[in-house]
Amino acid sequence: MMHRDTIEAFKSGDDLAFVSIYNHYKTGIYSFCLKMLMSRDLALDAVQDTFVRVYENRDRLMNTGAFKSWLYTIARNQCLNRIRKLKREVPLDEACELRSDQSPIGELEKSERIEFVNRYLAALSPSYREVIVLREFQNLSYEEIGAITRSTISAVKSRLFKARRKLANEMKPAMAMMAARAAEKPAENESDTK
Amino acid sequence: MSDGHQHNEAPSIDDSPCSESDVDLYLDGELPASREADLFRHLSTCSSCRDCLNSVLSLRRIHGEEYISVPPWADDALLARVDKRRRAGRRTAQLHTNQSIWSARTTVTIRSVLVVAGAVLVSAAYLTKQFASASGHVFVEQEHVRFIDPIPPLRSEVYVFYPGLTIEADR
Ligand SMILES: [Zn+2]
Repeated sequence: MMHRDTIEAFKSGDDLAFVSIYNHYKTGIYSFCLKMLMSRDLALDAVQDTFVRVYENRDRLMNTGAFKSWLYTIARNQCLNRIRKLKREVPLDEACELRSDQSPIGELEKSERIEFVNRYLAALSPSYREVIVLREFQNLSYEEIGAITRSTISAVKSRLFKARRKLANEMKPAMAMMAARAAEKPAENESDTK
Repeated sequence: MSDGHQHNEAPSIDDSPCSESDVDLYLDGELPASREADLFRHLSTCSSCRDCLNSVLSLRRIHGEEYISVPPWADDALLARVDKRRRAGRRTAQLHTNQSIWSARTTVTIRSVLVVAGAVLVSAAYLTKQFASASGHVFVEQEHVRFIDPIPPLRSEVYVFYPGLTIEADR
């Protein structure tokens, strides 16, 4: 949780406060944009535009306590604009390229699993994907998701619950296959998790 | 089930309705402890809810394994962009303070002041005439306006004051 004083300082023109806000939120915002856009370049671009807008519109932030929601709202708009511009769903093979470059070589099983999840996330509609990403990965509350997506809490719940069912249905066959594979090679998986 | 819909497998073991939202509330840590036992009983018989629970838990676990970080070049690029905006913002602010219309002090030629004043007089006379003919009265020009004194030989400054605006004119 970002300290309120830092956000107040940022509002009143302290550039160092902005840098500390950026450092605090950049990974979360990048992770959100990455999962929404399924492209590193697009996501980094969206992150930059998000923080430039935050910097430029600092005087529009009325309620310091709502900073996080405000930040994610801007990031969400950046993502949705890009998705609209692309006018297409993110293709699955692009999603498969989404390997984390930082993962050490030799952990192929792990990157496989990550690709597997990305594949199914990418196949969801943006409106389902965003609630899944905000809830499951960003760990935001129903209230926060409601503020970001401009919906009521009951609408958030309904959308999130449907998105989970949809995801579960899509993942079901592959999950069964993965479980079977994991049962076949338990030794490899053990060495993978350390 | 009263609607006549029959399940072929596991009949009458699970007579509770499918507690879809209970699974979700459980996943979100919002399910009251008093309802957990019912949920687990339901999960033991409903594969759909079990799949949902397992999928979401796998999703969370696998995401937790992923290391995501912004590359340093992106930090530099952002800070450079912000710095550029900041400088541009400062320049604009400076322009604003220097050229605020209410505190502007502009040097103009006497000639242009004369032209503007002349134009105002001509249009005022025209409008008066229009108004007069429209209302059926005839106005005779009652006032001669002398708006210019002989120009001193070397330098004159004419100040025209509007609220906060000063026009300073050399000859
Ligand atoms: Zn069920």
